Amino acid sequence: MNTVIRVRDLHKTFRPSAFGRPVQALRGVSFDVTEGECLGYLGPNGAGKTTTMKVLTGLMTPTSGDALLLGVAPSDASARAGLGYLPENPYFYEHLTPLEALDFYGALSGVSAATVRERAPRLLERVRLADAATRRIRGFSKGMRQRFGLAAALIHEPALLMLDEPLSGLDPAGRRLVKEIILEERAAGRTVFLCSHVLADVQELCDRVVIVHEGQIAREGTIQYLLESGPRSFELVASHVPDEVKARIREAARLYREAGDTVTAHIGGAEAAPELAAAVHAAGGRVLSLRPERENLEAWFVRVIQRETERGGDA
Amino acid sequence: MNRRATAIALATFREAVRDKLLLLVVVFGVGMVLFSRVLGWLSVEDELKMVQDFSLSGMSLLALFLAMLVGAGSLAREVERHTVYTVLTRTATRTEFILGKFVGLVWVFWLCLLGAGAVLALWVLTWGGSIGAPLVAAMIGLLLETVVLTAVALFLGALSAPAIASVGTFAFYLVGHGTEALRELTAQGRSPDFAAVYSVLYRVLPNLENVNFINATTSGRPVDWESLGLGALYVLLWTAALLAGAVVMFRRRQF
Repeated sequence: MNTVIRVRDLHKTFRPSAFGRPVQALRGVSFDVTEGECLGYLGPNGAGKTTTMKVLTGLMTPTSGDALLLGVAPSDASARAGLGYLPENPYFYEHLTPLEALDFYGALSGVSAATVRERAPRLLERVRLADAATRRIRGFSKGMRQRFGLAAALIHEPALLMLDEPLSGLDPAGRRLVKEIILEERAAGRTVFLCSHVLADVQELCDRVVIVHEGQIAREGTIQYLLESGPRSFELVASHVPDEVKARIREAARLYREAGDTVTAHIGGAEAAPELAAAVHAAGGRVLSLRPERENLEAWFVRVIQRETERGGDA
Repeated sequence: MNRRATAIALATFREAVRDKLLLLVVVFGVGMVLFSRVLGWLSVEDELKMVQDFSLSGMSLLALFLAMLVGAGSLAREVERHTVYTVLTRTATRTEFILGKFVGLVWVFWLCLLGAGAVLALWVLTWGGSIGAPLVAAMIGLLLETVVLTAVALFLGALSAPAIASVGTFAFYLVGHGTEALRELTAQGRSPDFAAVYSVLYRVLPNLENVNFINATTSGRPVDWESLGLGALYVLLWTAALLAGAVVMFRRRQF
């Protein structure tokens, strides 16, 4: 697999004012994105996500370290030929219509006028803006701008899509549409680099995540591996449970609920829940279900960030 | 100019001509031309001379206001509204961006000036005058002045905040039209101690009088086309230097 994005020991230090203390936005960030994968780049506010994106898109130069986009430094215009970028809260030339703006972005990306004329109506149809093709962008809602931004990012059929909060400001139908387009683009072989605060979306769209915290990589790995390596827990549902076993379950459970003669408990650890289920059975109760629970990305993310913050505080 | 810079110029042109701010400035310019007729009535001198003089001076101010109000803030607006993110993350270079913005703004400003010039021409014809070479030379001079004022506005806009860029453009205009006074001071020998300083300043500071043919037009002197050609070369050199400076400053910017 080819490496589409390669970042090595990236540092970026800002000096907010001439006499202000320097701020280290990135402190040795390294990661790779391989061809065809969808990588979620996550982190709390101020972690360095946007700075990384700006370095990768050539809007900013790093203080030190290397970033390569399709094998070329992003400051080189040729590196950006294969990049489709959707910034957070995108703004476009307000007085242009979507057709004019796509013509403009196509020209900037080296697409011939004839190809733009052929692609633009299809793209606008795809992002459900065909009816607004000749209206000025000025009158667009936030969701419409977001969808137009995706069309603009796709006009040159780039190898790499870099999307910063692509689902923000969208209604449920818009979110579904944008997710479908991202999945379709992935299926077509495009690499996707996605920044989002909505972790359920990242879990749905991405194969792998990189978590950045205070300018450093805190964790990275496939979503499946990261979640499976987290603490396991089980949901135990049982009825007709004798009181002494109920007491044991209540003591072990993270969450415990009784409704009628049915007990529902969420129990952490790999062994405790099966043991308690066996105890219910041995005491004459009925085990209705014993289901392993997987931590979702959001819970995992919060736990990782909490741990990193505590570690930073201890240091 | 390549396709990317042309696309940026065209987008800049479209954005500017559809902006209400431009309309206000143009209304001011055309208003000045129309108002010149009132001054013509009040004038004890040749009415037509007064109409042309006031209109052409008004058009010079129109060029200044366009550069100050539209040109000086154009880069800052791109950064503030983040539209620059969607341009510079494509294959367009920062040099192409500056060049495209410059050409687009010049197209818009020229369109405004030519519009005001057309109104003036109609005005002159209506009141029995004729459109001759002097008026054409004055118009060409104004178009050239617009080019250098746009370059100043962009250079200062790449260097500083829009308000400072506007004030700087205004200062350039004032100094540019005042440089001839330095030469007169030197020539008259009133301040011999400062003659060397005046002489250096005269050579270093911009001199927009090199393309100012308004007085020559209204006083009826024949057009010195050679002077106009040299003046054109002079402002184009200033423009090239200012644009090069704007590119250097803009390439250093971190977004």
